[in-house]
Amino acid sequence: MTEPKSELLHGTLDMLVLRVLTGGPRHGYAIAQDLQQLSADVLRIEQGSLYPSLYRMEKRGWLKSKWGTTEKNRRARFYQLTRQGHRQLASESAGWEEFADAVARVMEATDER
Amino acid sequence: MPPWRGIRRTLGSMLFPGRAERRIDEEIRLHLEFLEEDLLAHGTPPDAATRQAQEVFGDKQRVKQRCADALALPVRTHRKGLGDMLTLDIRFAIRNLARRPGFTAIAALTLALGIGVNTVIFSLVNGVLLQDLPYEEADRVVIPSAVLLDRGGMLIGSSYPEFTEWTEQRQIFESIAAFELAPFDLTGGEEPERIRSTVVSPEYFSLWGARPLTGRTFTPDDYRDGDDQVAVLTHGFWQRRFAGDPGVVGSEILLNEAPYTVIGVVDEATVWPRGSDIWTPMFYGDPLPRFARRWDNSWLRVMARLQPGVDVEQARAVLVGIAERVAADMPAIRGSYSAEVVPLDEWIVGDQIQTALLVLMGSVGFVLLIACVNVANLLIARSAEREHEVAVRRALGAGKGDLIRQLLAEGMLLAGAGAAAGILLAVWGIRFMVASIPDDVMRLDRVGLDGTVLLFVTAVATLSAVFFALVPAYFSSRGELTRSIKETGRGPAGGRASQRARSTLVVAEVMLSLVLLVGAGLMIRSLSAATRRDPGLRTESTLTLGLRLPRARYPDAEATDRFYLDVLDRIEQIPGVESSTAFLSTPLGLSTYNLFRAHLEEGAPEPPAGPEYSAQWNTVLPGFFRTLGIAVLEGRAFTDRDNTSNEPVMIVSRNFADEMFPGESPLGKRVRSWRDENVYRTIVGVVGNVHQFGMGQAPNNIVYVPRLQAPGLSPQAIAVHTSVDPLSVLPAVRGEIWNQDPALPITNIQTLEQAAADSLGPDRFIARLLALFAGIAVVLAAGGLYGLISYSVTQQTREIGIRMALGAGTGDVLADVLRRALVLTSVGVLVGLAAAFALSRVLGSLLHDVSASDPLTYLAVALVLGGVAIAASIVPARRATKVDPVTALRYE
Repeated sequence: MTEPKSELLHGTLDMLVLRVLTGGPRHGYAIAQDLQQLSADVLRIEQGSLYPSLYRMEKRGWLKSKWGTTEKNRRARFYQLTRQGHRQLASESAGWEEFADAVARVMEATDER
Repeated sequence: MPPWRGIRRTLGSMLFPGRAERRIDEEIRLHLEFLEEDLLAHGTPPDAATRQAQEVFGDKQRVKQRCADALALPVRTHRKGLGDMLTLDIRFAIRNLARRPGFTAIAALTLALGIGVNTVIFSLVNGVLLQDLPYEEADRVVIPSAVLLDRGGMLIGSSYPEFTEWTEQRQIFESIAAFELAPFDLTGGEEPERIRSTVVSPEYFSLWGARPLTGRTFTPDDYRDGDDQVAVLTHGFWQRRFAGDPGVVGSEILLNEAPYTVIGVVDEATVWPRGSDIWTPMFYGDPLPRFARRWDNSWLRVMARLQPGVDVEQARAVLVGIAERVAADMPAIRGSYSAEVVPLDEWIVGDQIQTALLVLMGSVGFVLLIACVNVANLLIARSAEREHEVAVRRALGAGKGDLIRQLLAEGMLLAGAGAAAGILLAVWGIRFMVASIPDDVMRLDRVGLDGTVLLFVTAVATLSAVFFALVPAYFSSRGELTRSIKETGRGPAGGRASQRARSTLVVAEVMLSLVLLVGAGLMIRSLSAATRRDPGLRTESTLTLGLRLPRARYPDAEATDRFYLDVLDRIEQIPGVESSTAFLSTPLGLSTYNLFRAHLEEGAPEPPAGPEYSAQWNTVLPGFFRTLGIAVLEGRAFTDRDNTSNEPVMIVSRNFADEMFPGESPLGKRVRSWRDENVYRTIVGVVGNVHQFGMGQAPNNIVYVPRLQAPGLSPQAIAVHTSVDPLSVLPAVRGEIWNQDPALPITNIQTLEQAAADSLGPDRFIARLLALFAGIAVVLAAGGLYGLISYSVTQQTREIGIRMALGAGTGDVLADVLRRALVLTSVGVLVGLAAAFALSRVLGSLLHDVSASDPLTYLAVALVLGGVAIAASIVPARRATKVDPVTALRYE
């Protein structure tokens, strides 16, 4: 059992989950799998944080969910982005890029002093 | 976020707080299963997989708590919301009701009967009284009319100058039209046909907003003299006579030998009145003849549409003001006139039907009450049995609210089942009723199960449900708690309180059914009194037929008389025919022409200085009284010598003679019909009263005038008195008529016997329904009484056993039980008699010859109920006598 390689603030987790869901409705476990795969195994979220995040975002209206069946005919709750969720994702990823740029600039700037 | 989703979620979490929690649990469980599967797929051994999955996932409780926090929910596993509880209640209630199928069936059926019967009558009331008329904005259409104050406010239409004044009152009337019904002979086509026209003034079609299906309706030009007259066809007539040919517009038809151009077709369903084939213009052409323009000649019928915002009161005030002004200007002829405005729907339905329907509605409400009381009684009895169960539940913490909710659920289920069955019953009942109501009694096209009726059923069922829940709830939550847990259930179950309540309810049932029985009894007596009434003529073995001789072929009195004398002569040759006669108005409600005139004695002053005496005029041939079997009480009947060369005479009915000449013989008095003919006639005979408008109404005053002395009023019907079955000579009679004139339409063929019976149709209908409801009520009340007595006998088995062991005989036990039943019944009967006395006033206008406080009826009903009570309690009473003291005491 490996320890998670990176801890994620739950705001960032939210953004990542939103991003994953742009690929279509998914149930909880599938979202966790996708996050893992897409990040080339770097990110392994603490599974226990995922559901609170999903519920929180659903309450805020960024997601909606309903019961459905998986390919293997298992009953599961599927989550999907709402319009508001799309907008939230757009604003958060813009914010994230700004943040990443700022961090990069600081890191590079110290070299020149 | 879309508001509804939030609302749904909030509502959902309020009603079913457990649900969200269950979802969290399920998602977590699923996730763990997925994890396990993956681990297994990667080769981890099964038990290790489970454990590892748990570890990877983390602390389940903490996750659950965090999820719950995210949803802002309190997580309490055992809390149930209202929604959960109601589901439980309903399931419990279903199980409970199913465990006692007998009780449930009886309760549901009783309810179904009560609700079903109410639904049927309500649908009738709804269709006839409550529904709007099917015309555009019909609530603004009214019938203005002049009123004769000294005739008890009789409505008499309007005169021409009056109508003209009313048309100027545009502040109250948006539109106003005069109308009349007139027959026409349609000739020139294939067969001549007698059709009916509604003759209308210019605003008629615009009042109704009626648009022509083809062509156009009347314009003011059509009312001017010079061009051909025009006519508008009804859709029905157009289809029937012209096969819907659109080319009929512009074609010419001959009405009474005059050419009319057809200018359009209108759907008769959009206007009132109906029943005609065509419309023709009134006031056509030349100024009207003088007599038609007199203030005291009320020959017009008027309808009007009120201006928006004007109500009937205001319109009436304006017209009364005009009437008073005219009365002041012309006291001699208009002194006793006023005005009235009647809304169209009231005008169409009529007073008597309204009363009848309200009586029926009230009666059927009583039946429902009795049914509910019965079911409530059953429920109280059951709740007494369930005391133990209730006590245990309460000990376990169920609050009063919970118990009441449970009872409410049961009550609603019962009411729902009863309502469903009741609706089924009503569907059949409505169909049956519509089929059996005589056609002319009321218009039934809008009677059926529509939205309003279903709403009514729902309301009734809900009220019943609440009643059922509250009544037993009241008893089960009273302090019988401790006693029943300790006891083994002996003793009068339910305690004094519930026993008293059930007794009171049974007394109430008896009272209600007594009221209904009295009502039914009074109606039945009234009906039988009416049928036994003397119609004033011979009804057996007499046939009548209506004949209208077209003016075209019978232009004057001579031609008409020749026809009648010839045809009557021939008819009397038919074997089986005793005699025949011809006359203007057929008795027993069969007449289509009713003429009323006002009379003054010679020397008497004209109104308003003195009274005038109104009577219906009937012109008759000699032999009339003999053929119809009308008794000549004084003087003589008419003879051939009563013609224009001799003194003008008249024969009057007994009631007219008594009114105009009280206490003296009218023979020899000279009387004139002063508003029209104004010729003095000598009274030469007095005859018995005749029920001219049917057995359901008092006989009117009638003045008979010999046909030969009234050339303007030709006969419109004949009567044939036979020695055999009257219908058996009908073909021969028709044959003789058509021998004389093959193109003559014959209408209204009827035997007088049938007419007398038919005229009581409405009374019979109401009496039958009331009897049915009273019957149902008595059966239900008897059932309730039986249930009560039977139950108390069962509960008192031990007491009875003790008494018998102590020496009481079977007679004593029997008497005891019966006495109990009779006491209850007597109280119910006494209270019921008082209530019936008060309520029977309502029946007033429907009763003939029977007073609403007729003691015979009341006595009979009381005795009947007493007998029913004894019958209902005989069986349990006998059961009581069979109690074996030894067995009864064994269960000490």
